[in-house]
Amino acid sequence: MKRASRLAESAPVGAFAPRAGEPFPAGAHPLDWRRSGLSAFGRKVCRSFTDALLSDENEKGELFGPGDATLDRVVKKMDLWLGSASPDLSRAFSVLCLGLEGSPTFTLKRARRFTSLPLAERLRVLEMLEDHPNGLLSMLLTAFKVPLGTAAFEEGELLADTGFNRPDLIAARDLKRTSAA
Amino acid sequence: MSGENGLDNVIFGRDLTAPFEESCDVVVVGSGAGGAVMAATLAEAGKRVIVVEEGAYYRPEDYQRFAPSESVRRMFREAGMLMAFGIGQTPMISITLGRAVGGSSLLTGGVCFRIPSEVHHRWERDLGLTELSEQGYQEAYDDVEKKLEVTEVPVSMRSESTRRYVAAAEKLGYKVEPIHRNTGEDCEGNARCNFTCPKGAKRSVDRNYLPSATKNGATILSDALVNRVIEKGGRAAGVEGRLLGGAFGAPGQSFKIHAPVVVLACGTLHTPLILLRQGIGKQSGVVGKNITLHPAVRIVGRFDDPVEGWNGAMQSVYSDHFAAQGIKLVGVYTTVNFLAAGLPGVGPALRKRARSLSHCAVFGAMIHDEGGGQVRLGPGREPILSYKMAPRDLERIRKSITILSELSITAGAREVFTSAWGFPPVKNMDDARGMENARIDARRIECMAFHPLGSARVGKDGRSGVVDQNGEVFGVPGLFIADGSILPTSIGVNSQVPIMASATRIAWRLDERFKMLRAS
Repeated sequence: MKRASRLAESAPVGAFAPRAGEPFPAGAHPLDWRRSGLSAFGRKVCRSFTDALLSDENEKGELFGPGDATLDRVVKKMDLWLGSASPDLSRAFSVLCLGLEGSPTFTLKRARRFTSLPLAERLRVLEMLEDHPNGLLSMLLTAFKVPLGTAAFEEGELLADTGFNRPDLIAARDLKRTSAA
Repeated sequence: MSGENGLDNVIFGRDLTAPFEESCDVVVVGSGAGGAVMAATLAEAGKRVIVVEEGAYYRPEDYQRFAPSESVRRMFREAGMLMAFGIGQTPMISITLGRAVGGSSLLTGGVCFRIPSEVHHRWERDLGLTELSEQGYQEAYDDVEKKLEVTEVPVSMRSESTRRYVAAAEKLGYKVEPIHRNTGEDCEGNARCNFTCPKGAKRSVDRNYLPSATKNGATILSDALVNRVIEKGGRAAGVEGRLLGGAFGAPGQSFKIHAPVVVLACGTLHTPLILLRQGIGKQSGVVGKNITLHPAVRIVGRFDDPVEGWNGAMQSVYSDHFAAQGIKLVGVYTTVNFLAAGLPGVGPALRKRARSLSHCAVFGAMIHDEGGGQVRLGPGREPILSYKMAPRDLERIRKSITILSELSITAGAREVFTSAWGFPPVKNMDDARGMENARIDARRIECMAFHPLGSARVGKDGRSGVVDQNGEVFGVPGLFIADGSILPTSIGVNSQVPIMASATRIAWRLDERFKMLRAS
């Protein structure tokens, strides 16, 4: 330890404690840890996965993705999540990204990168992972599906699709509506 | 209720720019259910207390407005992606733990159970832990329940999701009972307690115990990771560690806090890390071992008519009908984004099922497991948790899925989405019963766990346990443990009140002996 001061000298007790109605201390957004969790490769894999996970069919049975705005939002949330966790988790997730990128080898039996596949084939890979008798491959799917799906269904059209009838997931229950019913 | 507008005496470690040393009477590592009780009780008794918390501090007025993903990012350990590595035929188990001032108490469903009588009896009779009798805990239970304002969830607060399962259970002859929770009379049934309560109804420890601690002079240091217990002359003399969350790329400043009494309350997965690094408790052979998790599964039943299960208390009932088989049934719900992400299917199949969520009800089960978990030091900051599920417990999980599926069909569900990935939905009683004997790779079963316990268990002596019945570590005077790690067996119920009652007992005894501890 180069120079040890007393805690009270270094930071007078209460000096950094926000009180009711006061703003948090100056600096970057004080509620957040300032770190990104996904590498460029990780972002690419997550985006490609989410595109397939949330794909839907139109009336003609044609497959379409959720759109750039949704993909940007979901990948950003994943980035922030991993950035707030330990570096251990980021490293582990990088390994999972490599596993998913190579998963067409185990599912489609073709040496292709997951991110290079067209949407319909990526969807097929996800279906095969989910139904695979080897539980480890199901786990690989789950490791992406649960966090990315959670981020996706939290707002916008995807939340509205669930039929959730409050403005957002922060809004409290409308007790007047309940009692009237 | 005190603490409505946040705590005084919180120092943000992330904003400190220089190393420091400090001294006090008692340093408490961890501010969750165990640490907060120790801090409050000892500060109220006049001790100079510093609480060191790895996570950040958020005021209730801020976190009550967090979307679920923001709660996960800011308050869940490993952003909610903490898993137990399954060994052999073991399901994947995700673990929910808090990492913030207030710890996991911020993220519970608020459910309050005492340790069942038979568990107390077992500790007393089979393990010789006579002070851990039900009677020995009575006063502490009363104290904790009063401070948490524990009340029975009224029938009117049950969601439609829960009502349907209760009706089905009654039809099948299962007795269902109301749960008690720490929400006083304030719950308005937002069904998202595990991501913080928008109403602020839940009495997490940052709203009662920690305000009492700071009011009585305790200081809370957030964003500070303790790495070691300082030992001098064969006894505990403080802690050292480093500050977290400063400017990106900047090394964390180091700190030392000197105190004659050190309390570790970092939780079942992190307290043993400190012990293992220093070889403390090594002679017992149980540090980091025999962890129980209470693995849990949930099912989602889809009905023809709307359910809107999000209107009502997240948890309001339970059934011990299958207690003899180690299974507790619990009413449960969570936010729709988490439910949607957990539905089977991908692409159009997932989107279609997500559109039916307003017609879906949810119910869950938790098992009373053998201790198959082990914590090891990892290559980085976090521990590695492995879990080998006992064959008996895997049977209990399969049985739970069957029971829940039968309940759903009896309740009138058209189809039931179980927690077995890649399996078709259950549509009738035959399907439901078939789940018990289906050859499912256990790793395709999705489990959750919220109550890891027992990695530094109490024992009669240093050969059988890490701490004595007063929470003091064998062989290291002045070092105490007051979290879920000390519970000697699975308890089969939600662990917040048991941990808080255990910590209350330890704090009372410690206070009585403090002069002697300091003098030694």
